[in-house]
Amino acid sequence: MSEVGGTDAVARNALLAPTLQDHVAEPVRERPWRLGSQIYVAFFGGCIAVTAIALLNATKLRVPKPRRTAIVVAGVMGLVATVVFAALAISGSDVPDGARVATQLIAIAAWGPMYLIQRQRDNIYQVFYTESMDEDDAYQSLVGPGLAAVIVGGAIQLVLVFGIS
Amino acid sequence: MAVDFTLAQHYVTIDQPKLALDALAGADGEAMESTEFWRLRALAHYELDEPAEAARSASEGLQRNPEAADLLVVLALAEAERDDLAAAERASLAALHLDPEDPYVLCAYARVVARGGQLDKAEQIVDLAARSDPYAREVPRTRALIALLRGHNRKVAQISEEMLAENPEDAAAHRMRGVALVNTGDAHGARDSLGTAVRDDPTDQALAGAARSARAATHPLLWPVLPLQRLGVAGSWIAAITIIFGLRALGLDGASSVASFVWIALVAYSWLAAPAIERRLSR
Repeated sequence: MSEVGGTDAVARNALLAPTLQDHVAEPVRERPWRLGSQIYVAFFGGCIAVTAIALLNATKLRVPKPRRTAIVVAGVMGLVATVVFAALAISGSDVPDGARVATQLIAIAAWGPMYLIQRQRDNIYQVFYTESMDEDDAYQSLVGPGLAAVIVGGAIQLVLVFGIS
Repeated sequence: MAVDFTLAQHYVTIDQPKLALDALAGADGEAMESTEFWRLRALAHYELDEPAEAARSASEGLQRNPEAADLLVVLALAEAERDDLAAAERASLAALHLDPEDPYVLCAYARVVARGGQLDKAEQIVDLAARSDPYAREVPRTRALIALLRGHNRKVAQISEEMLAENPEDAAAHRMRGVALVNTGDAHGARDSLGTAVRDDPTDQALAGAARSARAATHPLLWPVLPLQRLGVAGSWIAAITIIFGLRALGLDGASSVASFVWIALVAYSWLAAPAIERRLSR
C-alpha cells in the first residue's frame, strides 16, 4: 500500500515539475491568418504556396519547431506526389482533362496535416490572446500574402511539373 | 478609514472591478498591511484587463505575507496574461508547495500549462484536482477549457451543459457552450448561449463580436448558407469537391456544372451577406 502511495507521490512530483521555464514572453503578437482561408491558397496555388503560408502562420502561432518541420514534410510529400502524378499523366503540352484539378486535390490533401498541426495553437491563440479584441481584428487578412504565395508558389510548381513531365 | 472587504469581494464576484477598487480606495495603513486588501486589489485589476497592475498588487501583498497561496494564484494568472509563462509557472508551483491539494490552485496551474500548449500535462493536473475534490467547480471548467483547446467542441458543449444543469446562471458555462456551438456550426444554440454570456459581461468586445456573428448567422437571409457554416470552410470545400467531381465521374456533367455554380454562388453570397447583416445588427 505504501509502495502505491510512493509511486503516486513520484508521479505527482514528476507532473508538478516545471516545464515552462524556457518560454519567452511575447505579450504583443503578430496576428496570424485564419486557418480555413489557407485552403484557397492550397487550391489555387498548390503545395509550395500553401506550405509557405502554413509555415509562416505556424511561426506566428508559436508552433514548436518539430511540428513546423512536419509542415515542411507534408508540403514536400505533396509536391513529390504532384510531380510524380504529372510525370505519369502529362506528356509534353498534352494536359488530360481533370489533371489540373487532380494536382489541386493533392495540394488540399497535403494541406490537411498542416491544418491539424496549426489547429491546437490557433485554438490557444483564440482563447487566450484575443480576449480584448473584436473578432475581425484578431486575424490578419490573407488576401495580399495569399495572392503573392499563389502567384510565386504556383509559378514555381508549374515550372517543376512541366520541367519534369 | 476602515475598508469593507466584504463589499469589495462582492463587487469582484459580480464582475464590477471598478466598484471593488472604489471600495478599496479609502484603505488606511492597517488595511493596506492585510493580505485580503492586496488580493482583492490584484483580482480587480486582473478583471479590468490590467495584468501588470494585478501582478504588482499581488507582489506587494506577497512582500507582506509570502505564504499567501491565493495571492500566488492571482500572480500566476496575471503573469500568464502578460505571456510570462515562466513567471506564472513559478508562482503556481510556489502556491502548490503551500497548498498541494487545493483544486483551485491545481486548476490555475493547469490553465498556465495549457496556455503553453502542454495539454496532456494540463489534463493530468486537472485529474489530480478532481481526485482531491471531485465536486470542485473549477474542475469541469478547466476540463472544458482544455477540450476547447483540443478542438473537442462536442465535449465542451457536454461539460458546459452539465455545469448549466447545476447552475443555469453560470456565465462561464454559457460562454464556453456558445463558443463550442459556434465551432460546430450550431448557430441557434450559439446565439442563445453567447447572448446570455454577453448580458452577464457586456464589456467583453470579443464575446460581443462572437454573439453578434452568431445572431447574424441565424438571420433568415443566411439560412441558405447554414449547411456551409455547419461544415466549416475546409469541410464545405471537401464536400463540394466530392459532389462536383463525383457527379463528373458518373458522367453527369450537367449536374456537376450546376453543383459548381450553386457552390460558387453560395460561397459568394456568404462572403457578401454575412458581413452586411452583422453590420446592420451592430448599428
